[in-house]
Amino acid sequence: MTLINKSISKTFIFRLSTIILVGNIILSINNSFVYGKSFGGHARVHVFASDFIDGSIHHSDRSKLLDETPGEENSGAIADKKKHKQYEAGKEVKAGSTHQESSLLPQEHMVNHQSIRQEKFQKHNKERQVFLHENWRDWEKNWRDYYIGLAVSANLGSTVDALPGQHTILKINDQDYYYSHGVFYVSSSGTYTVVPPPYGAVVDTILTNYNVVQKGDKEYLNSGGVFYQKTDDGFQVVAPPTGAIINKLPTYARSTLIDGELYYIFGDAYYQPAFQRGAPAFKIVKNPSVVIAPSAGSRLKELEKQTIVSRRNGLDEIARKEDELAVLDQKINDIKNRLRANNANTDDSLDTMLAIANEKENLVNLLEQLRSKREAEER
Amino acid sequence: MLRKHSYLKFVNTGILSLLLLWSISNGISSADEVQPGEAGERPVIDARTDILLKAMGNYLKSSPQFSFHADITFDEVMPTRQKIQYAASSNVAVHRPDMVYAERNADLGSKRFWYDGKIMTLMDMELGVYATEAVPDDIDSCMDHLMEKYGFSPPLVDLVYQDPYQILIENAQFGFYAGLHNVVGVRCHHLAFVQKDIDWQIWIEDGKQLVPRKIVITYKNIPESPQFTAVLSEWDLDAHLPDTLFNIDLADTKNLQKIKFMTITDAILDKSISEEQE
Repeated sequence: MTLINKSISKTFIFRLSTIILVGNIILSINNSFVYGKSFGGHARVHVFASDFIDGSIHHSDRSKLLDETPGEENSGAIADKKKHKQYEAGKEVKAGSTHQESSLLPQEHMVNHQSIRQEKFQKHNKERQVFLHENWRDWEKNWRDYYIGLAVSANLGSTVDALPGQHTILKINDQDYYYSHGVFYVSSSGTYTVVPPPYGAVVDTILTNYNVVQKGDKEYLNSGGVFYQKTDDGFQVVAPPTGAIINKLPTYARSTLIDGELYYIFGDAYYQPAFQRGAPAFKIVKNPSVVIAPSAGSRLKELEKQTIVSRRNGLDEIARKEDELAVLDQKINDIKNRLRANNANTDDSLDTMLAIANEKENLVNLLEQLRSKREAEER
Repeated sequence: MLRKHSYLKFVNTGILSLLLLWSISNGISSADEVQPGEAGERPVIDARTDILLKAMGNYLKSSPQFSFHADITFDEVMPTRQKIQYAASSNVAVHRPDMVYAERNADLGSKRFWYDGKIMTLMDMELGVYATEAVPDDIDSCMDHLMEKYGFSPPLVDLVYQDPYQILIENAQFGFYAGLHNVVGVRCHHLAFVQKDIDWQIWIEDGKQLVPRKIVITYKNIPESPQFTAVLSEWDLDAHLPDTLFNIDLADTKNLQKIKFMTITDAILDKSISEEQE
């Protein structure tokens, strides 16, 4: 009985083991099949896969891959996946073939799939172009390779599927921004577009390769042409400080001639070069090609200035005429004295006195007019 | 034990005696010398040091035209207080009394400087820009003017002045002879000087040609005390330098852009205006 039992149990264990083994094999084949389909549906071509490099050893911790494929959270992508499954269920995947969609699909499927992807990509691209243009003037030219200039591998305008693990969410003018390792992103359709630093953003850390710029008693941190100011909460992105002088241009600043003068442009700043202490230096100036209309305040000040000048001139003229009048009075008195003393040529003295009296009369009239004018202006 | 104790006592006594002798000798020597700053305005320069420096100055002064080459290293102090050393090479040509040409090719950019007795031109090769200004009509006045108005001078300007000795010794508070030492295989008199803000050393060739072979400046009042070092070579004191060397050829500037000099006054005004705007 014991032997029989043992034999039964051995047979049972053997059969059970066989069933489990076969089951596992089937399961693994099934799994591999499912995986194969799934992989086909989720195939991604990594356009570039680069690490974040911030130029310092301290910040050399690696971040995630960058990927330029559009997101897959929209309906177009799901529809694509279904098509792939239907097709792949009835076809073999040849050994050694790549896992790229083009090697698996018939031509009409491929064209259809690619056109949808293309359409989706173009839509995203257009959206992010509009956003960038609205927020950063001439961003392709003026912010060209901003992050590359800081030795950070992030291309402005490019898109990533996911943010790096460590990132901060910032809200500026009702727009969410994401910040990680010196790079700013905005979210669009489930992906994240690399954008220039937005003014007003306050971040905990900035890349270490900055220069300190002093303007008056204010200190700015110049990080490749983007200016930060220290605040209680961290570092705030601010507009380039007009009048500040820097010694090194942003790496990708471009030169331009405006009215025959050389300027460099980067971001929103215009830099005017000049030799300072024997070395080239660059003063941040307002856009020299824009003639700024004076504000109401400055126009009022200008009017006040003109009034003061005019009043001063008017009073000066009156004072001069009064002096002239006093001189004429003196001359008349002199002639009168001479006539009384009978020691002058009577006719000549009389003629002279009459001429002076006429001149005096004219002068008095003129003075009266000037005073009236002055009083009218004062009123 | 007793022997060990006696031995220690002997050693201690010996050390104390030596310290006493050292302090006495120091006291005697310092009574003879006047330390920098203690003698009011009178500098304390060792006689031999002064003679050698004067001889070098007179030697350069006697040459109406000369040129030399300099291999330079200099430190830049980072905000983190780390010192980074950069290199440059310079060629300098002087035609007394009113012409100077200098070029400097450095890690941080290349520049050329012309002075022809009327006009001074500075060019930055890297950026492709130049600026030009009318300046005084002799080297000494021009060099003073450049420093006072624009805050710069050509490389190793002390040797360019009419009387290098007077220029070098002018602010020295203390100077001494440091020995006969080699500079790139050339035996030199090594002189060391102390000034208010810098310490500097000069190596003067020991021989018929009394030219400086090396100059080291230590900016002791700047954090981390950065240094400037120039090793001088290719001295030509019988040079026949063409006048064209000292005049910028305007054809050279065809592809360059003219910019301005920012004067020291401009910088002060800019600062005050920006403060007003704050």
